[in-house]
Amino acid sequence: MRNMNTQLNVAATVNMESLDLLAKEFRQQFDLSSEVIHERLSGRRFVFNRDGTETYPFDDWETGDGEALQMLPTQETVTIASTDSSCILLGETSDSSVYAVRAAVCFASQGVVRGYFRIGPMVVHLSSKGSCGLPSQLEGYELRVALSDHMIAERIIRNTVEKRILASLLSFPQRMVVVADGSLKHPLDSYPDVLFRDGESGSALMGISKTSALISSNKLSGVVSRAKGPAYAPVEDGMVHTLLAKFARDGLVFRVDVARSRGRVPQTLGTVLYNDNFSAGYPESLRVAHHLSVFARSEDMALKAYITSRYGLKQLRSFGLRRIALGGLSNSG
Amino acid sequence: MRILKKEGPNILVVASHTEEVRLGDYLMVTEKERSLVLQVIDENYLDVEGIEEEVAREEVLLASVQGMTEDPADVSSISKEIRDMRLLQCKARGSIEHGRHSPRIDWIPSRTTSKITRQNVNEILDSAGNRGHRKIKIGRSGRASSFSVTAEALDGRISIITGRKESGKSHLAKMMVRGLLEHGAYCIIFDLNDEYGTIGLRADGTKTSIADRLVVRKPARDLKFSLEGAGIRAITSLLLHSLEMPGTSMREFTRIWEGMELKKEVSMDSLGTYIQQWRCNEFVRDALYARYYTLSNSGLFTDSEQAFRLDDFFKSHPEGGALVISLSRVSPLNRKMTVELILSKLVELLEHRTIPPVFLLSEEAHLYLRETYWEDLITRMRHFGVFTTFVTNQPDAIKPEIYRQADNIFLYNFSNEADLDLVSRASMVDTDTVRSIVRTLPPRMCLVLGHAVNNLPVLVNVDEFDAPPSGITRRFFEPRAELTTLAR
Repeated sequence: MRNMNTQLNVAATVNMESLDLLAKEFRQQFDLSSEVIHERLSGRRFVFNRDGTETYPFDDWETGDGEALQMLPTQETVTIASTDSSCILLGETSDSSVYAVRAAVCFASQGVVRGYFRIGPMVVHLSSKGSCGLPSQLEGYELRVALSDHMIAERIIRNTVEKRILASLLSFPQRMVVVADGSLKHPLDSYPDVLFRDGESGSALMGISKTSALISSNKLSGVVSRAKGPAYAPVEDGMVHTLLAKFARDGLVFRVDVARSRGRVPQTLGTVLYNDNFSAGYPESLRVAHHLSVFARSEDMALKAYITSRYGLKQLRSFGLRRIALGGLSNSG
Repeated sequence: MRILKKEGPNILVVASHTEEVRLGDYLMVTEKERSLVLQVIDENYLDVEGIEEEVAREEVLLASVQGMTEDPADVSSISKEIRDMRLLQCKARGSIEHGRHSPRIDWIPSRTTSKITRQNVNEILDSAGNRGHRKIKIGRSGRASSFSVTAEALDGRISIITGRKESGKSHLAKMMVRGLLEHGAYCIIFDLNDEYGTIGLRADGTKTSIADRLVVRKPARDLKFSLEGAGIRAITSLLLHSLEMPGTSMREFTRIWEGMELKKEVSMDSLGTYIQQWRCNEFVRDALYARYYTLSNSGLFTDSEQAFRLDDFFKSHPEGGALVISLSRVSPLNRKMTVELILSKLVELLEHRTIPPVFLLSEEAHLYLRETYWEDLITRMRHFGVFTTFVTNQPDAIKPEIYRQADNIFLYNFSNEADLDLVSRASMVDTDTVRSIVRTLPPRMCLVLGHAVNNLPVLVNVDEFDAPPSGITRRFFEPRAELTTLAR
């Protein structure tokens, strides 16, 4: 901090005129955009962010045009297979990273969770030479992105594992509704089109997203939220139907993507409504799959012990880079 | 096992659940030539962040839903091991350097390079000094090693055996008495529940080597004293303390005694006649008469030749012996008078060095021992050669001063907070040790503190005492003999 004055005393070393121009440009941009922002934001209902966590308004958003459709249970016993996965960074070498991934599938029918299948933890090694430990190799852009950011890498690894599991479940001869955690159309998660095409078994694929940005961005969420029972509102059609849905009377509204429904989206929703159980409007099978896949602290420790012993790692002491680099005043960002 | 933390004498050690370490065990933290001696006083689970959530999640999910887990690296077993890891709370009890134990704990062994091993209690005690060679085996310490106290550790010492009801105190006391007798010692036992009469026998009824050294006497039945045998000192002590005779009357009594002695007529008969004929104040005469009739009616005195003489007991048992004074079904006054007579006579004989030192075992002493005798026993009488062992299930019956002066304490289980509090504050080790170990002790297991264990607390699993059952509590719901009819 003592050096900050010296560091900020840039006038002596840099051409201030150029910097003044740059400052002026930003100011003009702000003046112009503030009008537009004012126009778009003025009087809107607003949820403030708390430490980057997903939040959900107690009251409704503004009502948009459209109508909520009643969701009716389809009285047919069909297995709901919900999948979720977790990935954690275990550590790094100078040129690679090691992750652990675990996935779970939870089966429900007739409103009861019947069983689960859990796979992992599996150790995944990422380096510029490629990926190891995943059902399919990461290559090209995907690998480069994964190597550049751990958060993105974890997402890519999860997506790769889930894709394999979803494909396997959809290939079963038995008819099911396979539920994935998250949107099927998320720009960061790439699902191959083959997953969305109707198959022989008649199994449907559904993605349920909790991401507030995807739900809140649609004014129909208010309409669905106010419906007196389970309801949904179509948002977008296509190979994957996107809708906002509420599975319980007092439940939350989620963004739901439905594929392989053979044009019978209401029936698919009704099948899930009949065969799964809902707490706060969220499917119980998906909730259990989440809890089965997350890593506990002891598992994190166990994995580190395992790779240390299995690969003869030499542990280096480490420190938090951001705190050292930014100093003690930085507390966010 | 690895050291995790040290705060003063408290050391936390992380151990796997497969590690065979229990409460009371000794550990050695070895680094180069020296070792730090630790004792495990408590154990907990290692506190892993988020463990409560993890356990709850697993319990809820896995208990209610059946499933299959494919864990190629078998990480779950390592994770389970982490969750089962134990945190051993240890107390540093000294160091061992060149095979010798010293109380120094002013150094810290390396967390990374030191080696922690379980240590045999006997080896640690031997390294702490010579405890004597006259062993009295009382049980086992740790898993297999037999554990003995030595007769020398009780010799010249005050010991306390305390714990809640039916925890095994009397078993230990009997074992110690038998052991002392085997080594030729003399014991006097104030037996409240008729428990000690059978210590000379084995459970199958056969005699042990000490069977013939045991004498059981019941006051007023086969334990009667003559005035002459008891002597002026014991009788005045009895009148003063047990019968609360006033000073003036005591003066007259002393004169009467001198008169009887002069004419060699010291007997109960003569005493009655002397009081009647003695020229003194009528109130004094009344006081003397009242005490005389009490003595006479107690049945404790006789003029017969068969009267019990304490010195004769010692003469007739040259290889040591135990005099068991059975105090069960004896009136409180007779109890007090008997104890008073025996103790004062004992001190008199010891003062004159007529008899060798004696081990005194006193069960629930607060029921018959007068207040001032406690301090007398642990200070003055100890110097003459009365080495007392107090046995009680009421720790508050013994004053804290006595706990503090005790040389050996054998602590059995206490779960009552008040008892634990008292015992932990009064005993000779830190309160943490006593509170955490004593609270969890099962029956027949005791914590030995003091001289007997070279001041290194030792947890002992006391053996079953090989003797026929005795002192059994009479119960309603069991086959019983016919009730006797009271004579009208």
